[in-house]
Amino acid sequence: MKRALIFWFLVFIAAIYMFPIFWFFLLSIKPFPTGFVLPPKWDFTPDFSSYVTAFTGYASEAGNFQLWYTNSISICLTTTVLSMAIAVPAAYSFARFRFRGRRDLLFWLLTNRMVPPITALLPLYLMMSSLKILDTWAALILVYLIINVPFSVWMMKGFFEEIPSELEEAALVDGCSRWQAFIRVVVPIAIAGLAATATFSFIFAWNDFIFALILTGYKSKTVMVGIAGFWSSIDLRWTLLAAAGSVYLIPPFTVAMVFRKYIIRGMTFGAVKG
Amino acid sequence: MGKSLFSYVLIAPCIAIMLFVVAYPTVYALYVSFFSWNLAQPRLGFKFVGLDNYAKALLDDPLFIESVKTTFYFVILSVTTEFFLGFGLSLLLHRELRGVSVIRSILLLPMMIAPILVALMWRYMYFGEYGILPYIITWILGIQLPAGGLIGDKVLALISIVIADAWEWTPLVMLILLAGLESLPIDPFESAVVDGASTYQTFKYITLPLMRPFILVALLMRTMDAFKIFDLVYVLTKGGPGTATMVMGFYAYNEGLKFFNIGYAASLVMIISYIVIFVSLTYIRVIYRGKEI
Repeated sequence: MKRALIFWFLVFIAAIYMFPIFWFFLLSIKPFPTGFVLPPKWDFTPDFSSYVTAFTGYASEAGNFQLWYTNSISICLTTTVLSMAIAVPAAYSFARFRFRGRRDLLFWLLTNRMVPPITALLPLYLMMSSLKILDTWAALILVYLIINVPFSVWMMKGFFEEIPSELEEAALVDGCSRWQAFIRVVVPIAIAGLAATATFSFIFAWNDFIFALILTGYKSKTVMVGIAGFWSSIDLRWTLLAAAGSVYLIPPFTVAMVFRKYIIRGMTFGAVKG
Repeated sequence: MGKSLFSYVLIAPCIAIMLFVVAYPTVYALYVSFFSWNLAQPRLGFKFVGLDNYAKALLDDPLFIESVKTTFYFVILSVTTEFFLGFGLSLLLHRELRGVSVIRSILLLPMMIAPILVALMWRYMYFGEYGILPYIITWILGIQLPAGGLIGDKVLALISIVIADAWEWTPLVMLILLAGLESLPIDPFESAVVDGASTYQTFKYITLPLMRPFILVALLMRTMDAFKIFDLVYVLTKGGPGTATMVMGFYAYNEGLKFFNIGYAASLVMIISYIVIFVSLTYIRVIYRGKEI
């Protein structure tokens, strides 16, 4: 009896969790203006034309979903590759060696996680406008390193610490250089962690709004900034917004399923192994 | 290559890039915060004003002080809501039950969604004339809501933001605490049963103390992020109605990047960073007290 009660309560919770996503998706397939009619109508014929419009036909002054998606994907991929290249060696060093200033540097990296983005944004905006790189991919690629480098360092440090150091010592005895021992012995073992870290970095950049809002203009606008521009209008564009937004959910949801084992670890900077 | 040289070579690029994207802008903002500088009024120039910006922010800008208060209300409300709901759920889910793993997977989804998209989803539900939530509330309770729907009322607006935030982040708290519950040693619980402790006693004297590190991490993560609140406010209320949901990050955004009052905004940014880092470091000291990292 008690078990059944708990079970149904949990089903209820899950329903609450699914509803906003489901309702948003439903808006994207309701023929306009069915999505804005109360009481809600359920007997509509699903209409996927807003997906087609969003990705092929909708290019105006206000927006161009194709351009936005190209921008988002390119920026997120580049920043992920770059942040991994920078952070992985550093993480290895933090995990294996006890050098002077290690603890302070680790905490300093962590403080970047704490500060509200707006604090970094104002000076970055000034810096980028003087470097003349506002509204370029480079600006956002650089800025996302602020989030992703500290994250990847802490995350990968945890993975490297789980690998026994005897392995590299054996490689050193066999005549490998320290660099070779790292690249050829340690990195292949940590490959699952590496994949998880890279994917999460991608998603963090993918999910950002505020940095993109301020540092992009027309040319480098990302999907989130683009569709957020539609929030005040109640018209056909909300349906397009829902279509583009629903597509935008696919990568994060895929990651949630594929890397579910690592999610808590990722979300807590490696503090909770989960 | 020697061990210590090698260790520094490995971290050098990381430190260099972080100095460039973080340390340099921060120092620059600190410098600018001592000047009066408005990009919208270039004729006024770039004048050194010492601590005037800080004095204005702390003593002479009731709107800023109010936004700090609003931020604290939001942080306290959302973090406590998420903590108690999350802890409750984690205790419910910590058992062998049909379908639990499916429910867990569903709960993973919201926190992977871009906060701005969460805000848009909830905006669609909160809408005054078209939203499903005002409709349901009117239907069930028979109350007529203000014209703007749930986000058109001063008190309800803040609560609406808290609800959307709690929807997205309660599962994170739940999963952190669930990871904690699953890692607890079994012995103390067995002895408690042998000694005839009640469920409540077991929870208070064994579960809670053992869970302390996990509880702290969950609270730290949520507190840090709650202070950063921006996206939800941007889409749901723009700080309104009036200034009811004007949080400090949004206030600094308006001052700096809308009114281009750069010098003053820089001082606000410094004050905000100080508040957030102070609160977070207090948590972290407690978490890492005497621990090797």
